[in-house]
Amino acid sequence: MYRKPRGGGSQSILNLDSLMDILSCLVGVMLFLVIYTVLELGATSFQVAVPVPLDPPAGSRRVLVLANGGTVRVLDAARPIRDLSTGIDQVPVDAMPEFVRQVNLSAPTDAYFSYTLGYDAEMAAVAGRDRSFQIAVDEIPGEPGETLQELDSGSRYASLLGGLDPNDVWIEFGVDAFTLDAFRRARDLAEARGFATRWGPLSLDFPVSFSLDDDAQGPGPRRSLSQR
Amino acid sequence: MANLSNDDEEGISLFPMFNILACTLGVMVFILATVATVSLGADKAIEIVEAPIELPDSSEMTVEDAARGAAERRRPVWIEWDGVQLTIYPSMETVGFDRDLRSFDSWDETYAYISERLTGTRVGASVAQVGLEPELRYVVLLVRPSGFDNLLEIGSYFEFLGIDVAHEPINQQWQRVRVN
Repeated sequence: MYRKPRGGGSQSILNLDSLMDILSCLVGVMLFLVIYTVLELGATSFQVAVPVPLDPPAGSRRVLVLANGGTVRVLDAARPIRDLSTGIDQVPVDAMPEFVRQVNLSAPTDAYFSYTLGYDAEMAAVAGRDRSFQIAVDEIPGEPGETLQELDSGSRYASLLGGLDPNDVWIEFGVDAFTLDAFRRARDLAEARGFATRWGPLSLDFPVSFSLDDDAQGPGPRRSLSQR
Repeated sequence: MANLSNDDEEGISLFPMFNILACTLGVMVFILATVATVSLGADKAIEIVEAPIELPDSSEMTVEDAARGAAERRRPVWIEWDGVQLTIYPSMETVGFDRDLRSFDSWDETYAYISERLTGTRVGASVAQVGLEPELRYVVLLVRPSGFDNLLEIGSYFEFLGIDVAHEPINQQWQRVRVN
C-alpha cells in the first residue's frame, strides 16, 4: 500500500547541519591561516651583523671597492698611478704633453678598469704642477663585475683580495642603492680575510677623473665619496 | 471544502541563501587572509645584530686588541635615518626634519637646526645620553638609500657631539626591522 510521505516542513526548518558544515570548514581554514600568518610574522629571514667600527691599521692605504649597479668591482688605483706617474718629476714642462701622450699609449689596466693620465697646462700655470695632472678611470667593456650570486670564496673578487695584505690595506666600499646585498656579501668576505672595512654612499658615472694629489690616505676618486 | 494552501510548503526556506552568503563570506575572508599573509609573510623580519669581535687570550692580547676589547664593551643605540626622519629602535619614536639638511649655508646652521628638532624628544634624550657616556655607548645609524644623500650631514652631527657612529645601509623595502 502506498504511503504518502510525511511532510517534512518542521524538519527542514530546524536542520542546520549543512550550514554548520560550511561554517566549521571556514573556521578551520581561517584558523589555519591565522596560525600560518603568526608563524610567518615570527620568523626572521636573515640577520645583518653590524661590525663595531674600528680604526684601520696605522699606515695602511685605502682600496676602493665599488658596489654599484648590482655588481662588485675592486678599484685599486695605486699600481696604475705609480705606472703612469713614474719619472714625471724629471719631465720638463714644455715636454709634458708629449710625455703624457707616450705614457697613455701603454695605459695600465686592471681587472675592471683602464687608467689614463691627463695634463692641463693652464691648471699648471694657475694651481701648480701637482694639480695639473689628472687620472681618468674608465670601465673596461665586458667586465661588469660580480653579482651577489657570483660572490663566494672562489670568485674573482676573493682572489683579488687574496693579493692584498690586511696589514697594509683597508677596504672602503662605495655603495649605491641597488647593490646593498652584494655589498654585504663582499664585506663579509673581506672581513673574513681580516681587512678593516668602511663604506659610504657612492654612485660613479664613468669615466671619472681625480687629481694625482687628491688624497693623502691613498689614491683614488675619494672626493666622490663622502669624506668621512 | 478544498483548501489550496499547503502548510508544509508555504514557508520560503532562507537556508540555501544563508549557505551561499556564508560561503561567499568565507571565500572573501580567505582571499583577505591570503593577501595579508603574502604581503606580510613575504617581507619577514630583518634582525640586525652587533657583530662580535674575536679577541685572543688575555695573555696574548696586544694594545690594539685591548682597544678592540674596549670597543666591544660599548653598547649600540640603534637609530634609523631615511633622509627625512630619525627613528630610534626599538621604541620606534621618530623626529622629522622638514628641511633638507643640505640646504644650510654652514655646518653651524645645520647642527643648530638638528639640535632644535631633537630638543624635547625621546630621540634627542637618547642621543644626549650617548653623548654623556661615549665610552659605554655608540650610535649605529641604519641608513635607508633615501638617506644616502644627506648622510654626511646627520652623521657629522653625531660626531660633532663626540659620539662614535657606525653606519649600516639597510634596504629601502625592509619594513620589519628588529635590533638586538
